[in-house]
Amino acid sequence: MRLIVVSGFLGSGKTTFIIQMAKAILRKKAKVVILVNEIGEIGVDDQFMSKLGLNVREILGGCICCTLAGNLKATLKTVIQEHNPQWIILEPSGVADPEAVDGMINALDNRHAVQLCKVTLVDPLRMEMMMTVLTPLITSQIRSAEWIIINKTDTATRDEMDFAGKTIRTINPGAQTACISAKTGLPDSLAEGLLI
Amino acid sequence: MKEIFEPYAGRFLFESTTPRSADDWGQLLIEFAGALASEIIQAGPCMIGHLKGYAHAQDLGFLKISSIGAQHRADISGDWKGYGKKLSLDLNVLVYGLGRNVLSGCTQKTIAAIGKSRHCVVLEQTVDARSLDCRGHPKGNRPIEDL
Repeated sequence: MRLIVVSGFLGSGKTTFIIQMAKAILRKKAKVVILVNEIGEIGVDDQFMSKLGLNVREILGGCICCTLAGNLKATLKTVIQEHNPQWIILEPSGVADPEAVDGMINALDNRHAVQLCKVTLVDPLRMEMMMTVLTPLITSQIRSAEWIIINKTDTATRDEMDFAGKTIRTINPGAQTACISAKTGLPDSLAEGLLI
Repeated sequence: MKEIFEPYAGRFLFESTTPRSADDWGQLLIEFAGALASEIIQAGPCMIGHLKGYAHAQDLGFLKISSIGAQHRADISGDWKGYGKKLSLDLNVLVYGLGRNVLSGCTQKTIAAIGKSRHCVVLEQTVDARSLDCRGHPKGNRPIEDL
């Protein structure tokens, strides 16, 4: 079973990216379940993704990297038992510490059966401000990823893209990177790269 | 900026006396998101994380609206067409630095203004949200500085 964890700050485009990933998986005739951990009492993303016909489970009422750690473990177990998907896409909240989420996943009973892929989405439009205000969180999100995707290429300026690229290379020079506009779709090469 | 992060969530029913097109409702929601972002920025030192909503209506379909600030136009996407007199909007307001009461006040003020300017009635059903600290971790948990 493959587990893709898609991290990124609030508003970075995680949900849009996940919808595109899920569609790419479904085109391969594979089964995918999406787990969404949203901050706030009203779930917006799960309602939207469900309406699009995707199989979504919501983990609501806190953050899976701390207070809802048990919920994550239980939900993963239930989803695997009930659906036996080839793929699970997990969307931690935009304020979750991905390194803590890693810890939760590594502590799973059947961890050996889970092939993990960690993706972080970056919003270049606000990268400079976020690196100033929320340095530890954004740094952790970048540091923990195998794939770092700079989103919103359709609206970001060259300077914003350069700053994002430079910051990523400084924090996590070993990560694979890609630049996309998730709302216009995923390049085939990226989808293939992530779905290997 | 205060070290607080208190998501505000609300459910709103927009109602118009005459049917409006899906495009018109979409424009209204984009206007609303932009006005709300401006109102929030004026309310005090803060950083808008995400203003996002899910709108649905029997006659129109569904859409998601997403805004990251007043300087960026809100995005909408979904299956949204036809004409309708009303829609329901679930809204999450995720902002660092301002308390829930302030965010609620900004939302009420914006809703009242948009209702007046776009000639529709807006009713609210408030939904409670949890109190979280600035980095999203409930108070008393591991601070982000430990990372």
